[in-house]
Amino acid sequence: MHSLSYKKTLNYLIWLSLTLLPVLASSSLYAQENGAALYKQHCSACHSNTGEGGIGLPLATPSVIESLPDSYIKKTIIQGRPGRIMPAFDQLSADEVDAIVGHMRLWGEQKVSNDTTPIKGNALKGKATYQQHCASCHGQNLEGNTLGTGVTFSRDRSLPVMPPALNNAGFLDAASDAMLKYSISHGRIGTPMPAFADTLTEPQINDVVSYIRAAHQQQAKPPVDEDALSLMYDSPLDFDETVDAVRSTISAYNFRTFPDRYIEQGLTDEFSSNKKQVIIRFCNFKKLYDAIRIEPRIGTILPCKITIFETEDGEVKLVTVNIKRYGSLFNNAQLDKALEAISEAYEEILDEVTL
Amino acid sequence: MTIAMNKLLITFLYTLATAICVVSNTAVATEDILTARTSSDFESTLEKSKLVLEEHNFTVAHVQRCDGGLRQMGYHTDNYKIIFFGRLEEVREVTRAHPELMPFLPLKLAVFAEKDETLLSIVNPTSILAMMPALEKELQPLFSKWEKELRQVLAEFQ
Repeated sequence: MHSLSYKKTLNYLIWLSLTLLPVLASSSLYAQENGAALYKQHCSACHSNTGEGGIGLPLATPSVIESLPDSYIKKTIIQGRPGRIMPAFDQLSADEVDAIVGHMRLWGEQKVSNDTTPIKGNALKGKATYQQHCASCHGQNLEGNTLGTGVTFSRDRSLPVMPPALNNAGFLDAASDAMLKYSISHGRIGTPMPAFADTLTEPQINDVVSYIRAAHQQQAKPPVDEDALSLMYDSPLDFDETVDAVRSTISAYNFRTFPDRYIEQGLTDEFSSNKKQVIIRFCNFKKLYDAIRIEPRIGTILPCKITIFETEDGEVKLVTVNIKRYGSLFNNAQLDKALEAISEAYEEILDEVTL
Repeated sequence: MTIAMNKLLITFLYTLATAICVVSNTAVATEDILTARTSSDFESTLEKSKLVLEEHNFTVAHVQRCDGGLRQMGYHTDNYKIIFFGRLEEVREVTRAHPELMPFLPLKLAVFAEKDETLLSIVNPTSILAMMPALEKELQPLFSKWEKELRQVLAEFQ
């Protein structure tokens, strides 16, 4: 009896396994064979379909791809660059990340070693060497070029890459000392990064690596902003008076206002739009230009606007976005700073109208 | 015999669990800013964007010319426009129940040129909702639906 039951169970399990095997195999194959598709889906918007770069690094440039160990690329994909434009793709599976790396490897082999042994150097001496040879591009404090990321708006299109922030926690976590040394020694032909193998001695390069690595120890996690995403205020005035007050206050703060719109305008005919939901749109073009130079996608959250609406009870309220909090979605510390000024203006305008 | 069967069962269940994990790991990344790149030029991409949105039953409310304003003010800029779009019933329902969401509606699609290519970007609606935890439970179905639809819209450009 037992023997029969065992055989039946075994047969059943074998059948189930055989059914599952193709599923498993196709899943793995899916990841492996679809590196190109995954790259296109997740990376091409910034790095371009062919890897020639854009908002992001020109990964297909031979001197770039050769200097990046697989481990570096994988960590970069998963962790991103805190405070920079590169997001973390931590939802991707290990197979999918491997597939993307496999696709990128079609552009060039890894030439840097996988050695993760820390390089011993003198960080103090390295700082002096860094200031002399690297700071003009990578910033006095390893903060990278501060002009922003987008090709179109922030830099000459003939420049294929912006000098990265070497003090970025994500970068330092992903890059081995061997990779840093390789990049400094060999440079990146086709980018503004020169090779220093003939300019600096090996101990000097080791010192610079140690100086960059020392920044890793000083990293602090940025505070998490838990402020409300939208800000709502009661108006002491009636609806029309509030609209007028907001419009005139905005002009006084050097913003240019656009014609008002109803929230529903354009979604329905002009007679059916709710006229008690008015959007006052405004823009300071200097601030907009600065923000676009830092993050070309900023248009997704701009222009500035304050919405005035009347509730069914006749209360008049103003609602607007907490632009600082909203801007944090871009994971860009430079942008956060730029948005701070806009945020202050918002607060002052709203205070002036409602107090 | 029973011990052998148990062992077999445990091994099988482990394999099954692993299989489920592997299969389910083909999830789509939840990027905060959904972006697509197309090798098409700006003007045709802008026109196609409006058509694709309409094919997904969104209504295009208006197009804001960011580049026009910047140029007027003396700034050098490439082509940059923002399409405002939505569905009346959804916008009306959400703003009536949750006026704090008014600043995010209608939805916005930024279309901008980069060299000869064009990029399209939009804030992931579920990322907005994730920053408003009190509304998450109630609005998750709608915002997830929007995310899915917007990914489909962008996929038509890649």
